[in-house]
This record gives sequence, C-alpha cells and structure tokens, in this order.
Amino acid sequence: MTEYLIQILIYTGATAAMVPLFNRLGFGSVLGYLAAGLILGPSGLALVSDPELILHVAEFGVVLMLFLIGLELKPSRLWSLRRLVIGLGGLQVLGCTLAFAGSAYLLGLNLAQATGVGMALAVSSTALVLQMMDESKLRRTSCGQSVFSVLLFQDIVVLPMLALIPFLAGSGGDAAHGPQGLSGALIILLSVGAMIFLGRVVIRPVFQVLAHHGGREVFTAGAIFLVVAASLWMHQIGVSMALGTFLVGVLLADSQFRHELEISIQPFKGLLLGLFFISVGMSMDLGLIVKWPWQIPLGVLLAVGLKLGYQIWLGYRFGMMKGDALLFGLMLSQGGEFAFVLLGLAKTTGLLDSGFVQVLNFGIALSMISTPLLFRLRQNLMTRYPGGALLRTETDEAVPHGHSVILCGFGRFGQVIGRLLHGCGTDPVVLDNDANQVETLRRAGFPVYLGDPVRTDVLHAAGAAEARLLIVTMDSEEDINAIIHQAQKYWPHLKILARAKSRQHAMDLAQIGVGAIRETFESSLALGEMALRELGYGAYRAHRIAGIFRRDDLKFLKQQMERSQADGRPARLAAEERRMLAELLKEDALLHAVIEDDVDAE
Amino acid sequence: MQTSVWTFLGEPTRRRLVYQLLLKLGAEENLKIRDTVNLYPDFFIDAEMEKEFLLQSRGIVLLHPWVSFGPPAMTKEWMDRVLHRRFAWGDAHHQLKGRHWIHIISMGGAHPRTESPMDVELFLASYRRMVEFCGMHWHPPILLKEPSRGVADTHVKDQAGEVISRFRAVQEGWK
Repeated sequence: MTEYLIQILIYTGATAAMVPLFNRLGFGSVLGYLAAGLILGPSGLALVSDPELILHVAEFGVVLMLFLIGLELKPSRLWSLRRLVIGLGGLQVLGCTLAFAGSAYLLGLNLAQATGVGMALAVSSTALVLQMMDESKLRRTSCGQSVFSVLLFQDIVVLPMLALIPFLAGSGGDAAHGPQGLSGALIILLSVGAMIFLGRVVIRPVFQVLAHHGGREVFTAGAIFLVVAASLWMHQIGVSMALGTFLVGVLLADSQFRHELEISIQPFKGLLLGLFFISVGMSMDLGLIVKWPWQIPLGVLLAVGLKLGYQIWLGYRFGMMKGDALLFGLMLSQGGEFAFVLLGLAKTTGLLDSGFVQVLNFGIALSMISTPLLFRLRQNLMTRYPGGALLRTETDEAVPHGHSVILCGFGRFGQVIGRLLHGCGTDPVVLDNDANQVETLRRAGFPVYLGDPVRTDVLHAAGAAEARLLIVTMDSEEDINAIIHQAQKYWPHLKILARAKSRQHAMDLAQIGVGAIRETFESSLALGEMALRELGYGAYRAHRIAGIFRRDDLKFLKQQMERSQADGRPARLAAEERRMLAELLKEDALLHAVIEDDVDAE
Repeated sequence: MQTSVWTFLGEPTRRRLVYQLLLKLGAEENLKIRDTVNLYPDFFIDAEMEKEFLLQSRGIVLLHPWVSFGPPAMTKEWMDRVLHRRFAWGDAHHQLKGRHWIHIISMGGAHPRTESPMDVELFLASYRRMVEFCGMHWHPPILLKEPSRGVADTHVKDQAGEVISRFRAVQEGWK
C-alpha cells in the first residue's frame, strides 16, 4: 500500500514541480513532463523501478484522449474530413515510410529491416501533438484539422503495420497481433456495427438513468466503464484501443451527455497523459548519449529535418498557406508512441536487434523533445517578424466555430427564449440539469445538453470562452447569481442577460451590469391589460395604458436603484421593501394624469 | 441652445449619402442626434422625454426618407404625441415659439421617380401648418438624392460635405 502511495507521491510531486516551471519558461507542459521523467528515471535519480510498466498504464491516457476527441467530432464532421484523412494522411505515411526506409537501406540494413524502421519513424506522436495543439488553441483551426486528420490516419494504419512486422521478420503472421485477412475485417465491421447499435439502444438510455438517479461519481464511474469496456473489446478483436474509444466518442458526439462525459473523463485523461510523457522521459537511457555523443543528435536532426521538409512541401501542395504548411510540418515532425510499439514488436520477432532498437527509441524520445522547442522557436520568430509570410497562418483570422449563445436553463422561462433564437436560426447551446426534461426536448429536435451550469467546468465545456452571450434563466435566484458570479469572474468578455426573480433582484443585477427582465412583470402586465379590456376599455386604449405603466415603472425602478445606491441602505430589509412598495403605489397614483394627457394627443 | 436631429431611419447604412451625412452631423458642434426609430421600436413615444429635448433645442431637424410619396408614418405619430395642447399650443402655452424647424429628406435611389419639390411641398403642407401654428419658423426642406452604385465613396463623402455646408448656411440664420 505505502509503496503505491510513494509512487503517487513521486509522480505528482515531479509534475507539480516541473510542469509549472516549463510553462513559465514558455516551453509548454509536455516538455516539463518529459524533463520530470528524465530526472525520475533510471538515468536520473532512479527513483522509479519499472518504467516499462508505468508506460503501459499511462498509454491509457492516450486512449482517453482519443475518446474526448471523438466526442467533439460528430459523424457528419468526421465524414467531411475524409479527403484530408485519406489523401493527406496517406501521402504523409507513404512518403515518410519510403524516405526513411530508403535511408535505412542505404545505411546497410536489409530490405525487410529498412521497411520496419521506415514505418516506425513515419508515424508521429498523437499524444504530444494534440496536447500541444490544445495548449496553444490550434486544434480547431484549419491547420489543426489537417494535423488531426493525419494523426487519425496514422492511428488506423498502425494496425496493418503491426500485422506486417512479424511477416517482415520472416516468422509469418503472428496470431496475437492484428486481424487476420477477410474474417478479421468482417469481425471489425460487425463490431463497429454492433457498437453503433449499442450506442443508440443501450448506452444512451443507461446514461439517462445514471444522470437522473445516480450522483456525480456514479456518472463518472459509468463513463469510465464505458471507455474501458470499449477499449478492451477493440483490443480483443485486434483494433488499437485508442481507435476503438475514438469511435465510441464519435458515436456519442451528438448525445445530450457529451458535456457531462467530457467533464468526467477530462481529469483522468490529463493525469494519465502526463504520466505517459513522464514515462517516455524515464525510458531514455542517457548512457547512450555518452556512448555516441554526436551521432545520435545528428541522426535525430536529419530525421526531423527530413520529415519537416517533406511535410511542409506536402502541406503546401494541399493548398495550405505558407505559414500553415510550416506549422503542419513542424507539428508532425517527431516520432511517436506507436514507434515504441512497432519497434518493440520488431525486437521480439527478431527483425531488429535490441541494441539498435534502444538507440532508435532514444532518438524518437529526443525528437519528441525537439517539437516543443521548434514550436517555441516559431513563436519567437513570430513575435520578432510579425508580418513574415512564412509565419502567417489562417489561424490568425480564424473565427472559432460553434455557438455564440449559451442558454442556461430550459424550463418555463428559458424555453421561449430558446424557441425564439432557434426560429431565427441562431441555435444556442442549451444547458439544463433535469435529465428527463433534456430527453424530452432532444426527442423534439432541440440541441439541449445535460449539465449543471452552476459549475464552471460545464460552462467552459459549453464554449463560454468563445461565446458572445450568456443567458441565465434558472429557477432559483441563488443559482442565477452563482452562474453570473462565475461567468463574470472567468469570462469578463461575455455579455450576460438574466431572469430576475423580483424587483429587488432586477436592481441587483442591473448594478453588476447584467441585463435583466423581471420574470412575472410582463405577463402580469399583459393580464392587467386584458382586465382593462374586460372593464370596457378599448383594445388600443388598454394597450396604451399598459405601455405607459411599463415605461413609468422602469423609470421609477431606475430612480429607486440610484437612490439606494446613494444612501447605501440594505434594501433587503423587510421595512425597506415595504417602503419601496408604498412609494410605488404613490407613483402609480400619478398614472391617471399621464393617461389623460395621452388621450389628449389623439 | 443646441440643434437636435430626430432621425426616422430603419437601416441608415443602406443609404450611402444619408449614412455619410449622419457621420458628419455626429461631428458637428452643439448638435444632438436622436435615433427615434430605435428609441421607440414599438412606436411608443415617450412624450415627456421628447418634450424635454425640444425645450433644449433652438433648431429642430427631422431626417427621414420619402416613402409612398410622403414621410414615414412615425414622423406624424411623433408630432401628434409631442406637439400637443398645453405644451406647444393653446392658451398661451406656446413653449416652442420662435424655434426653427427643417426637414432633411432622402428622396431615394438613382431612378428618378415622379416626386418633385412641388410634391414634397404638397405633402408637407399639413406639417408646415402645425409647425407655424405652434409659433415656430418653417424652413424649406433639404432634399437628398442617393448616388447610384457606381459612384465612389470619396465622391459620396464630398456630397455629404456639400449638404452639411447648406445646412450650416440655414443654421446661420437662427443665431
């Protein structure tokens, strides 16, 4: 027991020490994790006994990450990326594989070995690149989409690569890895079909129940169960776990639980991914660099340069702006975690000898360190030459897509607002914490998400950072105030409109710059107008009177507000409220005279 | 005392000359613009507030388009609500007496329609009667022709500048 706790202590301590430091220095968190790993590992302080084991645990962070990415990609959106995935991704893998295999062949490896090395070096690090793009907010830009598409293709193409390695080693197909021929493909297809079916028929109703009857932890447990089950299943049929959970994510991308799932999984993903980078750092054997002090860095430099050059050219040929092509090439210029897997297999099947694999692994880890450094260099150049054509990207003008309005609460009050906006073609992101309500509305075709907007992370997941308008229509004054308080604290740019529960609440809200409408005022007034008509007033007259009443009431509200601000009396006191009501009634007595004037003008 | 311009324009940006003119008017000294249509999107004019503004103004300008051979209905509603008895007229209540009143009218686009200054005068006759009834000075309206699409922006700006100088010349007589 204490041993585990000590391990946890070491990892969390290293993270807390190194990541903020590297962030502060502007190198991003990935480099911080790698450095932490280097310090903890066998070559450093040797605090950790079995880095290999940790790596396997930490790889699950990559799995979770792909699940989260899947959640953001609706099937239709994925389909629209097909040209990039297959075209750009295919050419990237093919070109890099050929280039590396050719170089390896020229350096004296045989054809089979050279092919194995080529494949391993062609793939990039999904974990590293996506983490970096998230940190620098590049994921949603067009360049980010291209990078992501290539990574997706690499994740898929790793499967046939894994199947090919034993074959290259001459030992024939190894049943333990990869699907076999037609029947294998059939099993995969059937599994994906079953997954789609289960997603619709089982997963959504189950989460419906969890969200409604379970607590927060139960929902999180359900989410983790889902991800683990999906990855085990996919692993069983020979598909990479990451790809499997990615698919599950896509299937749930348009479900009402999207935001809740995202929030439940996010912290686990973050921690495990950090652990993954730490274990990459730990796996680096610094003894090798002592042995070959200039050969290894030179090799890495050449390999990264080769990838960089080819990928920039490829991106440019695919119609990217120069700056985007540069960024695209840079992002994918390192070797990745799949290379570790491929090379590990090559070692066990006897395709490559273990000393050589160790050197390659070291080089790949080094290349992973190079990417954040190159990225940092690009940032520096950008600030020094802000107008340079090579550095200008489409991202500079990119408008974040998604919704510009977040509507909190879809009860009696929020519904009308939602319908009005929907009718105008501005679909808001709707958040409501009542699972039943959400389910009913979704059936009716409304894009409503389950989530409690009082929590900052829910608002964040709904896109508060990019939205223009936040509309708060919750039922309780406490919730309304809490949401506004959070939103004003974290997203000061956000314009906020809110439901006011009372006259006093409306004043409070107005004082902190929130546009507020008293929840019952307008409807009471409408009923009052109706009453006037029953009493014999013509429709026009009754409407004018109601209008004058509204106008004068608003004016008086403003006056009262300014006054209470001036003398700073706590307006909440019952006596103060009574006084205000008395004032109101006195003010209303003046209505008669105004109405007389109004009739006069006709 | 200031000059106040009441505008009755739904979408001022669609009329290039009017838009340029508004920009220039906004830079004029001692001149306030009231975007009447957007102050009262429901036509529910707050007469008390408007009267306050009128009392502060030596010059009263109505800037509006020419629709259906006349000014938009809101100009009339505004006058009906604001120039009422015991304020603008009746029993020694001529509180706007001696002030100056002028319309600036955007006559529309490049295709000349049948309106002539005569038509405008014809329609505005009732307005003029009311203004003079309240003891104010009526000035002949300034008519604007919107440029056709091909006309360059700089030219439109120049045109707006000419209108402003004409307007200033009228204003000279008020002081």
